[in-house]
Amino acid sequence: MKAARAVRCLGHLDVSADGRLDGWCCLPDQPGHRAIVDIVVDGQAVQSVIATRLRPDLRDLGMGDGYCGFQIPLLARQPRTARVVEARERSLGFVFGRALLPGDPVARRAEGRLDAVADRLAASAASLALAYRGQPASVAESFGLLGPALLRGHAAAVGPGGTPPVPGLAAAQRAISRIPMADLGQVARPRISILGHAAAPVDDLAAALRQAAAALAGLDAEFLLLDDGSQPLAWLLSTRLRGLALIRRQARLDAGAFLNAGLCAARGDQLAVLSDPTRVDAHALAHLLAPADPGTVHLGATIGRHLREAGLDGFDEPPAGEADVEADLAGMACVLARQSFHRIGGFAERADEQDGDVWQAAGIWVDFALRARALGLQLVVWPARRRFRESPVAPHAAGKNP
Amino acid sequence: MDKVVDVVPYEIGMSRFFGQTDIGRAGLLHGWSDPEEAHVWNDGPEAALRLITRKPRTPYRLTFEGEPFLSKGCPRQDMTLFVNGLRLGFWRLTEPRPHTLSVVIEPQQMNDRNGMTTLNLVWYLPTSVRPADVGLGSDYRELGFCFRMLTITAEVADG
Repeated sequence: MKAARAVRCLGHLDVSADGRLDGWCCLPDQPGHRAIVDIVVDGQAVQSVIATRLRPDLRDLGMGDGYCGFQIPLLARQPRTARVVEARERSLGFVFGRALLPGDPVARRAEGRLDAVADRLAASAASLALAYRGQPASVAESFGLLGPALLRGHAAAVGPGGTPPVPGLAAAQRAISRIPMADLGQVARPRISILGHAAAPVDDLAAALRQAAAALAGLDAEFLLLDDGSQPLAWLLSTRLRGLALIRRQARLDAGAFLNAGLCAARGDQLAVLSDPTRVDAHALAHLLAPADPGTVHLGATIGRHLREAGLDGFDEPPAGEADVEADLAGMACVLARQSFHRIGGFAERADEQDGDVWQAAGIWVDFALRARALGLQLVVWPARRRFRESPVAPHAAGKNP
Repeated sequence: MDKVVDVVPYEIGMSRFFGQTDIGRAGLLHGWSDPEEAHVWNDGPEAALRLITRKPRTPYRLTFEGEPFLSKGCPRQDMTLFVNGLRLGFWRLTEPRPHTLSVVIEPQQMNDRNGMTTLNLVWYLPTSVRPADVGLGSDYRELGFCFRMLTITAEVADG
């Protein structure tokens, strides 16, 4: 984990439903510089643009002279299976924006194949707490990085009727500046994606992410944070932790769609979903992630409780291993291979629990587990605390999260 | 400006922009004017650019954009593109507007070394003229084409 000195690149990327890319990019240290933005689809550059379009809103925010926007149609030459589009500032190689391409959400991909196991699912359907209705909307608009967050903060700082609400942009920046800057690392082709929920105070979150980055340094990990607005300063974390991708929850996204959005944005072959990154021991996580086993889905204690409450049992327990270090796994929701996520078909969207907390939405997790089991995947439910050996990848980084 | 400065490192799929914004003088071997903010003119009948990219597994499509220098005294611009000494394209430009021109480069037309390939691009512009010679000011450069952007893409999905 390298120390970062300052935020050198700011920007944002959005994809409209018709595939048009909208965004902006500027280098605060070089206000007159015209950033060159490479559009990267699934890791491959497909086109480039110089960000010179006037954005009066950004000029009013002090982003140089405001000539830092871009708007381009996405060319048709990206792979048919492309899901993720990224915007990369060329001189720094910094990825400042990431979004999903419009298209069928993953939750629908498995529909046809799942018909083949419909009988098995039907046997369990009575115990489901939700009705899976499909037809989810595009989740492309669910993404946001620092750009819109700054705008939102600016709007909040002005406030209706001239009343400055709290915290406002300036106050938020002062508060966030307490957090030491760090580089979580940027991996061109990550093998592991850590998807955390911004539920804890930002100082604790930052410390946990830094520690996880150190513990997973040898595993080519990337870090994404699901921001549902529960922590007001979480949207500024990416200014302190370089390489952190922030995924904002929009009001219209239900719990399943929000999780799908995050997991679709992740690029690693192994996916770890953490309901609370501060309550997951980093080196224990490395133990779970280091062996790639596409046939197993690891579920955390909270999810296990949901399954039991739904009357489901018979799930596997984790194998007994050498026990040196007591590790906290209370904040782990799920660890699985990306291909398993796609096989399962993602989380059910537009389920009954429209506005519920993602981690308390028992229905989507029960549905997810049932579909995984129907597909023959092994489900292992982990306890909240567990003894582990020292980390297989970075023994020096072993330790407890703050 | 006839000085070898560098080669242009190139990642397939991205666009490189002529002028100070991006390429600057890198890879401009000979036959170029001084780069301006977002373009560069040829200066003389032959302009050469060298770039380096990874070894191809499929044909590449090279596309470049720009505008010809046309006037009453110079109604057309002829342009031939040579890649690694091979003549791959010819265009006769008669309209004073932006043009997007492209050629396909086969893998066997590239020089591979250590997993990388070097592309020596030479635009032959025999109809370049000095604006001063056709009554347009005091510019004594020999202008034929104003280069703005260059893109190389894999002609089919490249792995």
